[in-house]
Amino acid sequence: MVNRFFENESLGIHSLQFKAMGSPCTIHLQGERSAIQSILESAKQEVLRLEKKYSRYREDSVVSLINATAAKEAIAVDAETAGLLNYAHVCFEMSDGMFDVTSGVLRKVWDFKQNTLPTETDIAACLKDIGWKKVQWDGERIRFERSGIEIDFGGVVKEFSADRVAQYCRDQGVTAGLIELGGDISIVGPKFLEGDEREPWLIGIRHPQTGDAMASIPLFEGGVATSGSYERFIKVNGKRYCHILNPQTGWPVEGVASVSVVAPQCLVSGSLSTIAMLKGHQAAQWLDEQGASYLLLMDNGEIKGTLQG
Amino acid sequence: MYQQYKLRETISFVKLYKIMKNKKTSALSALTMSAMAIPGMGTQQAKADVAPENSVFSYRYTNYQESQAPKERVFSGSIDRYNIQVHQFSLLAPIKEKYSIKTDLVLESLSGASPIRNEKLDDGSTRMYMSGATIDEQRVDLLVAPKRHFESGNLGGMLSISQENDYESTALGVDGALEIFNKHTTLNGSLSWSRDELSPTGGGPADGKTKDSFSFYEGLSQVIDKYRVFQAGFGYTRHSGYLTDPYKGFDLRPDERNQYTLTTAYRHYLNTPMLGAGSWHLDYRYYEDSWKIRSHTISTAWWKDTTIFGQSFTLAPSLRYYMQNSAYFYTLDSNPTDEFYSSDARLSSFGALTFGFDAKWKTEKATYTFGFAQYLSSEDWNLLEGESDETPGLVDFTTISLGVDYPFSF
Repeated sequence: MVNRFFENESLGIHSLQFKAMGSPCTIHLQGERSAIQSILESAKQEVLRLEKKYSRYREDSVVSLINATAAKEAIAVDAETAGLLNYAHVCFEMSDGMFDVTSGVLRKVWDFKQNTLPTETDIAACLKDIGWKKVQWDGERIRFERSGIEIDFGGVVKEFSADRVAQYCRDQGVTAGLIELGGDISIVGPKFLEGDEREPWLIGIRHPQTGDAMASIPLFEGGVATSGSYERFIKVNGKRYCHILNPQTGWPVEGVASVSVVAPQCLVSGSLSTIAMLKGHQAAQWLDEQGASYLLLMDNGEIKGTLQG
Repeated sequence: MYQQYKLRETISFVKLYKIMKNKKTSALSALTMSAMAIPGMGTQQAKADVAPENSVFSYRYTNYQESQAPKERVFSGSIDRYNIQVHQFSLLAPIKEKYSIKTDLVLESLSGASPIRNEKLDDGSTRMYMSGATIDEQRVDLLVAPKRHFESGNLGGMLSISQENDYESTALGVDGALEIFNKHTTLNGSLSWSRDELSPTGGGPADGKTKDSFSFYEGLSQVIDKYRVFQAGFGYTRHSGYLTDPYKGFDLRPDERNQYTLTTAYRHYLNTPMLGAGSWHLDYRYYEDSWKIRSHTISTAWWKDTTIFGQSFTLAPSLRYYMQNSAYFYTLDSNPTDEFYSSDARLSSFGALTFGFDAKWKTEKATYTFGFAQYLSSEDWNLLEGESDETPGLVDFTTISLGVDYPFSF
């Protein structure tokens, strides 16, 4: 699914495109050019700061430090990281253990660049190092019960960054804008027209295979995030295995092809869409129970959700 | 200041957890609440300066032990220098929502000898005249400090009375803090006055003399970002009256002393692979006075939170370097003829190093503290303006302190 939105240079919408967190990113802000230019640049810097801080590919990131240290001794973290760990804890609890920031180690056995499946033995060995319950987190310090455990904020950082940057722009006095980091969207505020009139951003959601518009969502505020099994997958013996892995079985989930969720924050949208993927065939029921606004495309082509049309 | 800031940013994890455990809460609302609690996700609502929620009773015991005076330089008196034992009891109590009051009681006992005078001999060495071993001297110090907490700051008062058998001091003060720019900047200020009355053992010219002091301080604390805080301050103190030390021989000092200090402090919360997470402190202080003493102090410390056997500890090794040049009337002349003169080693040119180690053990009920410091000084350690005269009166000392902070509610 590709998200499209309305853009109009004549309204004074200025944009900055760059690559971060392995994805194309775009920041659109509306306002007086000279003021907006410097805010665009510092907003980008904020994205890069968070990428640097939470990337598991960087040895000097907070995540790498935690992974290198927490099995040996409890490590105190800064307030921002504490906030994310608290959030990860809530995700774990609210998803009945499906959303687990320790599940990233499964990538050691699942290689989505080669069309081969891991052995059951490899997966079983990997599962021993997975489980948020094996992590002692008291709100200030984190400690792993065994070595081999790793945390990975990959499932939350891009979405958090979108919200964080949107808030940064609001703090700078920008009231109209949209942040898109690799398809995850956080609204700074609705576009303004002449006078006091405001206009929502139009977020288009496309069918991942046909490219047809599935929905066009007008958004004044909040965030949208999409998870899909088409983003990355391998095909073995004609069967599709997507990159979203169940931390309890170690195997890819089935049932949902793509899901988009609208929520007050992009971070929450992203977590709800990921949990929905993990819930598989129960995705629609679970999202309904949460009172979420969503659009769901099942593997069998069925479209469900409150955002249809 | 830094600690306060950190606390404000940390959300109540317990509160979130309780909300979440309630199964009726939807994932949407639990996640939304949890997301909004991450620093930087919403507009930062700075909190008012609030009175402490709990009362805290604290006790500290400190043992200060000076090394012996060098035997080969002591001409008369005892070589055993001071030992001071300090018991400090402190009670901080909130009164209603906006007030708090702090009460301190200090009991101090002192024994040992101190240098009376130092003089330079023809061979270039310095001879020390020490006092006889002093029998226990007691000091009692009582301080009461009420404080009013406002939306963006506080205003406090202070009254202190100190009594020794040869000395009586009364001090009064006011202090305040004002938080501005969304609490990222704090201005601190204080004013204080004190009057000391001397009645030295054995009478003498100092008997009945008084000494007055006036102090002013203005400081600024600036939160740079979540990890860094910078502080700077300026202080001025004016002493007037009888400033000569009644227990020193050949000692005559000006009856006025104006002191100026400039302090800067930097706090940086770091998270490095080698040292882990902790707070790095770097402090510098410049001092000068009308007795022409100038000094530089630079100190650094690393405050590290760690868990040992499942218990929360904060460990802080520290290092401090101090140097000063001598007062204009400092002399080792055996027969001084200038208007003012003193051979007090504290007025000489020297440098000093302090190695410190502090530890805090935090349990659910109380916080236990331990402190150790080794102070070493030498006339050769003034790196800028060393002087050649030996100064055996300089002292090395060790302090060890033990304490407990016990929070409770009435």
